[in-house]
Amino acid sequence: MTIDKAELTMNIKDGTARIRALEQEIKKSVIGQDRVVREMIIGLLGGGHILIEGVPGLGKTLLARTMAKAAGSQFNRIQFTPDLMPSDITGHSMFDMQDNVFKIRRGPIFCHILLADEINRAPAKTQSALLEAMQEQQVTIEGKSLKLAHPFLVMATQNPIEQEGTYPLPQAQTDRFMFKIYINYPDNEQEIDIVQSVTSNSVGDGLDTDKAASILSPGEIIALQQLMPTMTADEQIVNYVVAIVRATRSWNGIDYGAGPRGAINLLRAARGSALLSGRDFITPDDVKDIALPVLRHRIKLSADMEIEGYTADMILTELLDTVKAPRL
Amino acid sequence: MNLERLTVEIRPRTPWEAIDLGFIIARRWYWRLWYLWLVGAVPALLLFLVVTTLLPLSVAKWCLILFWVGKPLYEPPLLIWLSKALFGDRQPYHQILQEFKKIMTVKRFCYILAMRLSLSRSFSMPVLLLEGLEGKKGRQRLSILQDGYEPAFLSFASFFIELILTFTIMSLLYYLVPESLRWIDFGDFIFTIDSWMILGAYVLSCSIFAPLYICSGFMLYISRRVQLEAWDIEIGFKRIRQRLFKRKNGLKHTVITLFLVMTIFSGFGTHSDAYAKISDPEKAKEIIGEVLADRKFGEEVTRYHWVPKDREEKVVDSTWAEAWQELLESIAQLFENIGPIIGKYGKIALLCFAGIVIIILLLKHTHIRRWLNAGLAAGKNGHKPVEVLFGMDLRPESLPDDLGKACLELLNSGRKREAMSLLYRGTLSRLVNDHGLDILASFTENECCQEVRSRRPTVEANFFDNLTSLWIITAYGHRDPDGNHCSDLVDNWQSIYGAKS
Repeated sequence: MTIDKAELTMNIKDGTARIRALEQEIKKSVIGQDRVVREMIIGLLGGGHILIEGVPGLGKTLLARTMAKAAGSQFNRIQFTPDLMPSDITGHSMFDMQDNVFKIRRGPIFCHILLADEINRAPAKTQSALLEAMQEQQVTIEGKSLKLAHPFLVMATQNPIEQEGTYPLPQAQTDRFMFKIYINYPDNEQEIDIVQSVTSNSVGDGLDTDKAASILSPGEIIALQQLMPTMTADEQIVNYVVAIVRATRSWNGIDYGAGPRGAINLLRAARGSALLSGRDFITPDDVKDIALPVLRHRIKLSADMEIEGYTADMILTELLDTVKAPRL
Repeated sequence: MNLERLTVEIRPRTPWEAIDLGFIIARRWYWRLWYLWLVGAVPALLLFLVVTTLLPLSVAKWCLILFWVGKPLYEPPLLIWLSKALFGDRQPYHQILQEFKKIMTVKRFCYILAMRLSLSRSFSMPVLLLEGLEGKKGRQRLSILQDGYEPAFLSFASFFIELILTFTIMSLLYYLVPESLRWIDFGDFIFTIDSWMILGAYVLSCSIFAPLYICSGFMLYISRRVQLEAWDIEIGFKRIRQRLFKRKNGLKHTVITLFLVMTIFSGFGTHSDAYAKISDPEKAKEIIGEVLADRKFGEEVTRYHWVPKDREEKVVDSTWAEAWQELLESIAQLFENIGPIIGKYGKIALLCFAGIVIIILLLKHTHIRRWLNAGLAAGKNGHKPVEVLFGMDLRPESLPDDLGKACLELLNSGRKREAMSLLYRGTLSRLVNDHGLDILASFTENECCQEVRSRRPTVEANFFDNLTSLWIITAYGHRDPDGNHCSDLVDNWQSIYGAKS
């Protein structure tokens, strides 16, 4: 598919306007999490999945619901528990007594945006079922392959506290997520806004997503996703991405660095960041800006670093300050 | 000087024994001496820090040089206190400082400072400060004291010990950093280390070794005086006299004492009486010459005698212990023998070493000049501009003399990308070289803009933002920049930087 340069510029401008409108729409309901919203949208554009870590009560479900509504997409939520079975996610076949045939009942995974709440509370077998579906974009039930909806975005959440009785995701599984995003507490003014906004317009604990209107359709999201590969990524930018990822493998304090999948996702995320900034080309700033959420779950810190209280973000920030940025 | 109050055992000692005694004394009064050294060194260091801020180049480097030059100035309080304490008079610090102020004239200050270049500083300082002999008299006195004594090896050893201590402290700091957090390997750490750290480590190592150095030098001096002035004999006679007077059977012991004295000095007793009456120095010199020329003077006589066979033999546990004892004795003998050689040739070796250093410096002359020029250009803050950043040569000499004109020529010939590249490079060069901006190789375009905005006026920051935007479109967007926009940027460059070129 070849796109004329002028046409591409137009598409980019149009696409940027739509994405910014989506961003504004989400921000109407989700207050004080601007960076998280931005990263979520980049994840949606990059066609990746997102692992969110944050304490309860910071609006993870609200964010997923609002995003699905604003993107005009179907939303489902699964609460992961220790007794959750793979078929509870993917679906199963059941015998129809009236018609005397087996019928397939599709699970909650058949949607556009799926919130997998507290993914680390389910056993490894159930986690694997979801993660395989994420990778292959299809589900097999009784030997029959069923394609998942497109676009398909999984938002899996983890709670950083209360680790008892959980099944931590292994490195190989977390690597399948494009981003690992931290949701932090909002600042004082934003929290006042949240409290006022929620208590003045609703009764009870229900999530208020009424403020967000449907801005995009699944088809438009696919069109935006297809715009991404057409953007200009200079060879120096690709080299920069690879240099960062390779540096994670030889850095002091990192036992295991990111693999090539990390570099691929970093470049995809940088394209999304550039698109959000209204450009049809990537700059080193796009790469550096998005490097932390892409790489933080792909590296394993050495034991002494963890004992001394260093986090992956601290080490990655240090690393990014030493990798030479390109100039053409 | 009351020899009876001496707090150390007085006897003739070899230089090694004297230094050993000095070390024992230093260990005994180490903290007092250390504080006294700090009393002199810390104000001097602060003064040097203030003074060196007015000088170009690194404050720490200049301070290090001045501190090294001024080292003899911190030592007199230690020496004064030690000279009193040795005779049982431990004076408080303020009295020592008062005494130091009293004896410290401008002339003596200069003499002490000149001792920086002397290899026998700790040995000759007592002559100046305690005996009060300056100039020619001082030199004559030193020539007598140093005859056969070579205190140079003490300074020589002190220099290397301080050097080793300095590197040890720096190495210790390095190895205290957890291995996983080390940002630099050991070799780079030692050779590209921060001047402040060297200064700190050097001051600390000097403070550690100064009490030992001063005490050793002073005990060498005392040992030499004991040898020349026979303090041990004087003390011995005084003790005998006291003992005899205490006991009431004085007559008997007086006779014995007289007999002993006569026996000891029987060889030259009659002469000594005669010589004692001579007051003419010239005549005294002649007589001294005669005594020295006498065959019997300094004659060594070896006598053999029989030892009873049943004498108690020294019990040795094993042949291994015997061998070990022999080895230690031979090592001690070796040191005894090479001591004077080191003392004699140490000075020559040091001068040869200094000569080699000067030759190397002369060979590196061009390099040093370049380094000095770069340092002076960098100004007081010690900022050393980078020459290559982001693969671009930022040296001013690598840019055209009239950069604006060169950019316009490139624009007119349709080479817009090259024009923008040159303008971007030129601007970075100005920011780094003229305004000392710390732009790191890991900085992206936006980070560069933020750095410029935080350090430069708004007009310049706005210009750099515009230039960066256009540069990004040209470089990463692979688009030709708008010609008019480029011309405007070149004009802006001329108005901001052109006047300075």
